[in-house]
Amino acid sequence: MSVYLGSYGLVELRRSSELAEKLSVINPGDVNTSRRRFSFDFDSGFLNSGDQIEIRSTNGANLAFVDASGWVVNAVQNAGHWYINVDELGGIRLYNTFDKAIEGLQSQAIVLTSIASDIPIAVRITNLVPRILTQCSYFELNTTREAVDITALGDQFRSQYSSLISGSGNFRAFWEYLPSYAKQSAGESPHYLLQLAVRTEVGSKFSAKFYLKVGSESGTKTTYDDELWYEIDGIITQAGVNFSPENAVEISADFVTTGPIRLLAKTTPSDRLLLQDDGEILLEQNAAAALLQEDIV
Amino acid sequence: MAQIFTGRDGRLLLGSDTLVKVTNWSLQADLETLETTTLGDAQRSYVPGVQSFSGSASLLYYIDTDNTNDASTLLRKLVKTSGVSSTDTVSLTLRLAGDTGNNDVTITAYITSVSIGASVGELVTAQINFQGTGALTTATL
Repeated sequence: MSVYLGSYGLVELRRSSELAEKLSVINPGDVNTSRRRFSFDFDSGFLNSGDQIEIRSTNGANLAFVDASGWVVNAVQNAGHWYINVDELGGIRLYNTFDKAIEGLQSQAIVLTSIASDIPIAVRITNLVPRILTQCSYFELNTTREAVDITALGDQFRSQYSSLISGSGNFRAFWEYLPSYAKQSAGESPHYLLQLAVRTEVGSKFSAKFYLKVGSESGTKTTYDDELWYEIDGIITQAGVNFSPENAVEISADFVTTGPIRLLAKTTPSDRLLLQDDGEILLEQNAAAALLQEDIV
Repeated sequence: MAQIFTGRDGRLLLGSDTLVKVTNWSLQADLETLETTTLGDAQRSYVPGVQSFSGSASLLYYIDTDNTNDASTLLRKLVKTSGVSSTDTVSLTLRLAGDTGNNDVTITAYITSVSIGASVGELVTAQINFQGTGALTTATL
């Protein structure tokens, strides 16, 4: 029998959005090439630093304001994905990695070029990469199964029928607005949860994995490498931060789940490839030799 | 020994068949009163008029293991493609206690309203109202 400590758990977040696309126009005057910054009309909170977005021209024209060096193929296209840093005036810089986007340095931003005419665009928040929530000190996830009373006249005992499943929970984390590089080089900062709660246009949706157990990092394949986690889509319903002189600043966020709640496991496979009848796969050249996986103990 | 009754003792029978998934029923008995007060009287006086009986019940929309649906028989008396005729009456026994038959009201009635719907997270239930016609067949309360 084992007892597990909270040190085995972690939270992995993937940014999400409830808005399909935002249509706008980039004017020549919106592009500041010397500061590598551009803008378009969007409401405050629509985009946050660190978001991965897709920009697509809606008339098929190339996105000429992004220099060819900013594209994977080294040539200007009509659609692309970048990480963004949003400054206090709504100016946007493009980056090719999440941590550069959070840092927001002008020197690391993708080079922009001037444009001569308007480019109509559609912007979509993609955020495909999950990241570990840094400085997380506590999480809780509750699943609830509703039961409907189907007791009828004449019954001696109450009868219940399984109905819908819902979930809710909360995080607590020590407040930080930059990724904690010492712990996780590209982690999600707890400050993002506060930003998420006040996003009005795209909603407060996120995807998360709540790990009950993560694999060991010993390099030895054993059952210690098993991983178990809940996978959910959630909506932040409340976020708060408390300041007091004697305590570290901590944020908390409550959420409810939306859609399915999955409890998943990744267990360490057997080192031998076995047939369905438990027999080993033998080599034709040597009947005594079994086919082995590369990482045999 | 005194005895009290609860929903555990209740039944709703259609003819002689107990409807399995009924969550409640109610019966309303009314009497019209005809006033016979005349000039000079100090108190109002009445004679009995016409009795009427009506009621309601809630049923789970329920398919039994033999694919019979207990609720359907009642619902189809009103929810039907042809018009309601004088033969569309049902004999309902509203039973308060056990299977002894000593606490019954049996009424011949028309189904006068049916309300059924589906909601997220809730059971499909049907609420029916019925209006009695004629005298009660049994009244052994």
